[in-house]
Amino acid sequence: MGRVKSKNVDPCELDFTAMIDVIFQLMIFFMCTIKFKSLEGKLFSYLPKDVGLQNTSVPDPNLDEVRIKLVYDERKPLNTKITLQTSSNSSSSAEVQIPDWETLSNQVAGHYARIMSINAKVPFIIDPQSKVPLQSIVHAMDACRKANITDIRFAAKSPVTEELKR
Amino acid sequence: MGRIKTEGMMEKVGFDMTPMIDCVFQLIIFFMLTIDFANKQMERLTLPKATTSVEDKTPPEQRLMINLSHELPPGKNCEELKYDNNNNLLKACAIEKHWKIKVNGVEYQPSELEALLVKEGGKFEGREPSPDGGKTLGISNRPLMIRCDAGGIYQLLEKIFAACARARMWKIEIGASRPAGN
Repeated sequence: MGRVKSKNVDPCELDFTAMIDVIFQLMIFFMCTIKFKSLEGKLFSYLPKDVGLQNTSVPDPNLDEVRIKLVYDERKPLNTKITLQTSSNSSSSAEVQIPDWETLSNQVAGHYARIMSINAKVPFIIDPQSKVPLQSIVHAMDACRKANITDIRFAAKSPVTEELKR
Repeated sequence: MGRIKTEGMMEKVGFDMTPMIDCVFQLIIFFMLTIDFANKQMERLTLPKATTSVEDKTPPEQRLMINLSHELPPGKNCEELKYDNNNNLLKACAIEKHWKIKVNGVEYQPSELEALLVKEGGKFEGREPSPDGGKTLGISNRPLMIRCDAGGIYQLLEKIFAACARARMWKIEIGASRPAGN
């Protein structure tokens, strides 16, 4: 076959202007609407399966336990005064004021190590007042988790306790 | 075979972009109108910070999400709740009516939340058999996450916990973010 002569063919041109316009529109649209997903974390806070409904009252402080008391106090950071209370059947309870969360973490770890050394099963109870900020509660949970404590409980007071008894 | 002469026979070739632009604009308008920007499951809130929080990489599909968010009517500000520039809590808000319990974008009162959890707890894997022959609810193994604002107060979380306990849901996770530098 012979060659096709195309001497007089007009040059084929693409008009990119419109396409660029569209792309810019799309870029602006996505730049305005995009929201980068921030990966959130979580703290496991499993409730006990065998207690809670029938036995809803907070364990008596006379029993063996370690209780982290969080009291609302406007003068303190995060409006929270931290107290660590340990008690046993045999001896009287001891209460220690904790200045910050780092100290709480160390104290809790110390108690946990002592408990583990005698193979006892002692619950760690977070006992906050109703007005204590949730950040303080999470700090207290964090302190327990740092010490690898898994048996963490929350104190529930009335009227919730009363409601739970229904 | 002889050569084919094509001089003067070729048509001018060009791209008409107008229909494409029309289509693209139609698509843009369609998506702008239909896209749902809000993730209904997750309200916008400032999570409390915890160094031991585990990354929530593969959340279970059937997980229920309860949000405790601080919401005011438009134009109103809360003088109580304060954060610094790094989203660290300075002051919590103890005004209960400023806080909303939301599941999938719908607001619930604590008593309504309990009814919802009783219903939702029985879905998917269902509940374990009740030990007393059906007089009380069996335990639900459906996971549940509570996402609460760091500036909320324990009183509100306590109510959610109580509703979970009554609905026999125990697999609870609390949403937390990692502090900067961790």
